[in-house]
Amino acid sequence: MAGVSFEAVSKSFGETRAVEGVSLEIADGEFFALLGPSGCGKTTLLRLVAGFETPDEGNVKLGDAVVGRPGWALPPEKRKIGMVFQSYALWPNMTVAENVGFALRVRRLAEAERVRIVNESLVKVGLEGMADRRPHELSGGQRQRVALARCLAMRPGVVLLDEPLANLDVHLREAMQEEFARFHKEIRATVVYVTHDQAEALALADRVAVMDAGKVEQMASPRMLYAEPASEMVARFVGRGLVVPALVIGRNAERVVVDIFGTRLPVRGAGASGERRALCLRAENLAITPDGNGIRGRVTGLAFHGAATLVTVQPDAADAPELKVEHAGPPPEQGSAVTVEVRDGWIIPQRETQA
Amino acid sequence: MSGSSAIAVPARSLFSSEAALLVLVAVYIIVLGLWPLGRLFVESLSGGASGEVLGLLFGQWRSAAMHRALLNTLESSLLATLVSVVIGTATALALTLTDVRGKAALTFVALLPLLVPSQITALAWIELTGAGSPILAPLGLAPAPGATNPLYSVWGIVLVMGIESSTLVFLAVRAGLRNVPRDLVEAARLGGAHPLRVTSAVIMPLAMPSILAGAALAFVTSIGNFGIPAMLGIPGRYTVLTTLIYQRLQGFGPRVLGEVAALALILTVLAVAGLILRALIVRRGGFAAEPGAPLDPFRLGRSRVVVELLLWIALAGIAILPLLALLASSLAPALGVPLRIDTATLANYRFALFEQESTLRAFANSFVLALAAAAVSATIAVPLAYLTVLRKNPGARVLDLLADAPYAVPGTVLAIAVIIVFLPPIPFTGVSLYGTLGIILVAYLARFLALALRPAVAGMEQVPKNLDEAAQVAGAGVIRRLRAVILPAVAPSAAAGALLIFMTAFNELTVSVLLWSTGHETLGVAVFFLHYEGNSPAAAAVAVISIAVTLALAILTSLMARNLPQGVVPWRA
Ligand SMILES: Nc1ncnc2c1ncn2[C@@H]1O[C@H](COP(=O)(O)OP(=O)(O)OP(=O)(O)O)[C@@H](O)[C@H]1O
Ligand SMILES: [Mg+2]
Repeated sequence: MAGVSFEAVSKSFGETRAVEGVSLEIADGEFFALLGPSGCGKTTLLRLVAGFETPDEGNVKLGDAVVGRPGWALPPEKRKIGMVFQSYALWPNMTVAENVGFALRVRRLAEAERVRIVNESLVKVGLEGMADRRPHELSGGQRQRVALARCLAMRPGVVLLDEPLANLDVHLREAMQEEFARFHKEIRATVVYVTHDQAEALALADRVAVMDAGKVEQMASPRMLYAEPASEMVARFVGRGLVVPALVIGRNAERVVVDIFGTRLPVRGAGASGERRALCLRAENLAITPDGNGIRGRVTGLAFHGAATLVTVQPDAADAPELKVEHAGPPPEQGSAVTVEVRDGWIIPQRETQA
Repeated sequence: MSGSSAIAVPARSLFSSEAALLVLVAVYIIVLGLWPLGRLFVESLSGGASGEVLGLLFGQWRSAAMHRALLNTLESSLLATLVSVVIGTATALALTLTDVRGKAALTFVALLPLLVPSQITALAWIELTGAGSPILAPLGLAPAPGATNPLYSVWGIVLVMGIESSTLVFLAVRAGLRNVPRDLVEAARLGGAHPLRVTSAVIMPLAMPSILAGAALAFVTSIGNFGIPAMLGIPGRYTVLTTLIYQRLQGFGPRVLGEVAALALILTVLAVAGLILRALIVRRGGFAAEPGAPLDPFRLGRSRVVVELLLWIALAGIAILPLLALLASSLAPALGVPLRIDTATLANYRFALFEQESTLRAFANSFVLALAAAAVSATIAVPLAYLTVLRKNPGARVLDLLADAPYAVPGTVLAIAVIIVFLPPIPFTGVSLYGTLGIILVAYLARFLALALRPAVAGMEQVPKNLDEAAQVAGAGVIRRLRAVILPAVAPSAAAGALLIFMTAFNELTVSVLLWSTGHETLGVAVFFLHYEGNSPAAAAVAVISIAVTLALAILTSLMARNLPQGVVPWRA
């Protein structure tokens, strides 16, 4: 078992700065998710852990050992790391059992021991009867399980998963998420899980690093990430937060009072009077009230979401962005005037310097 | 918990096994191909007996025989290129742009000359047009008995060489026509242009770069051709550079090695000039037109039958008739006895296979050489393609390019280069490869690696990189990965490359005619000398057998090719 750490690691491909000055400490046994939009450098970071890439700057460590530094990387075949590829990368010329047992064969494990571990791994992923099939005779979900079994059979201290569920349908994705969580509890390996699906990251991980353009924007527990996003990018990317401009007016007990679109509200966070800041609002913290204090506006859209209706409200104030409100009960009429009550908000700590 | 128990960092090793593999392949390519070629150039540029700067080269440059040979080479190659462009382009246009029936069969016939080695093509044409022609004589069209064969002349060389290299133009033009965007053609037709007008005004200009590229390739091939000018030119006293080199070496032995090296340099310069021209055409040629939908063939209407008939007559006359003459000659009874069903005999086959020891030996030698060349080349090509394509190793990319050199230069040049390096005893052993099968094998290995490399690279490009990476994560070293994961994935492509080499090497003449020795003849040499000694029926018999072998292998390759990625089999579209 081992943790993984990055010390100010950068990696470029020609002009593209794929990873830029990333420092991370992933604890031994932690389930760690790398989350971010396409092209932000998640895969590159993972490949630095695996040893497929050599850092341009900084060190990559497994446990206490430096395994990657500028100009040198310990080859992947010597790292004893498990990896599940997005496209599964099952060897088509081998049966399921041969795929799963390959690493053990490479390590010259005795035949009996090998067979035992292979069968055990296949049972764990629910593929008992399929040992002699070839990858092309399996469904997508089954292939995914073989890839997982192949990884488990290695008994790795560190498991890397690169968007392992991206090719599966929604139902299978949920089932597999549960399995990943279960396996993590069982084998207690350090897991680094790459995904661009924020729900997946929040559901699975102990901690999440949100990446953007090669840099880590925020690293925190899912709860913190959701409640207290550090930047506008994180606020928007995690839980589809709405970011609106706000003027800080003063303090009220624990809370900061801000003015949005002419309405005064108490919110969480920090800020000095007179500052213009960005405020993160979430659909479930907004409510449509018939009367009372809130932002006045007009209903411009209604989308049925089962238990609730997502109501789009255009505030009356000039230049105000649309608000999305989760509303239970009978929806208001299209075009009708409503008031949106704001129950909670979060002042994004990062100043709008680059916006 | 500390990581030291799980991850032990070994000392930084100078040679990972990947680097070792690269070094191995590099040594192979350098020792067998690049070093000899380099030595050839050094040798050809040396001072010679007089010690004058570039003495050897100037000595040759001033010789009348060399002048004549150089002019003849240029003359015959340029004219042959013209012939090949006419035949190749016309065939490609007819088979690609029109709705003639039986395209598969016609294409097969059009490409048949590709499968028949030069010396056998020449032999077949000699049989067809000679006084004793089994096909023309009964029709009263053959030359009078005793008259020289009309093909023993520059025109004979031009015709036969042109036909042989027409296949190269055909393949290039066909590929080019497939890239002509359909909407351009349709726009012209909507504008009211007749199909002929569309072809001349729209399609031909777009296909011109392909035609020129094909022509440049045909020219380079013609310059390096030995079999045809040897069979037709030596009796006709029309000497080209390849035959001049052969005659010098044959007459005076290795002591004229320096002089022939100078001749070889001149030959190389011609070939390289042609290849550079081709590269320039390909680069400038606007092949960039994005491949849209394929062209709709023009409907020929009532004239279709006429076009089909003309195509069959032309292609059959070019490709099949000579082979029939060859077959008939191989069945001919004693000289002067007319060939009829009841006089046909297998005596020539019996003679060639069972009575003449050297022919049987040649079969065995060529079989062993071709098999070894195919197997070893494929074995080298797979790791090299792996390092180039999947590992993106910069060193391997350079080697991949350099491996083409021994195939790009004329075979005659390579053979001389190999003699220069491997005539002296190998250091520390005291053994010389000269006068053994070994020297022919060395030359074949150098020359044919390129043939195995291209299919291996095409196959490797289909292998997902992460199959290799997954095996790496599993702890497998480079050799293990090659064996367990890569080889199974590219085996069909590698096998196709090996078959290609076998087919080519089995009938090879140009290289082996300069390297053979008694007891170490090849099949190509056997046919050449049987004919030379006047035993044409026996030569025909041997030729028929070797064509049969080649044809069978070609069909096997084509059947395999159905499941292979594009670019693995050269004649497949
Ligand atoms: N081998 C490479 N050569 C050149 N550029 C590369 C290479 N690998 C990655 N990049 C570039 O580096 C950047 C980060 O790529 P990376 O694959 O790490 O992104 P990602 O976050 O995994 O994206 P996705 O979610 O789409 O998989 C991208 O701009 C990509 O184009
Ligand atoms: Mg990725």
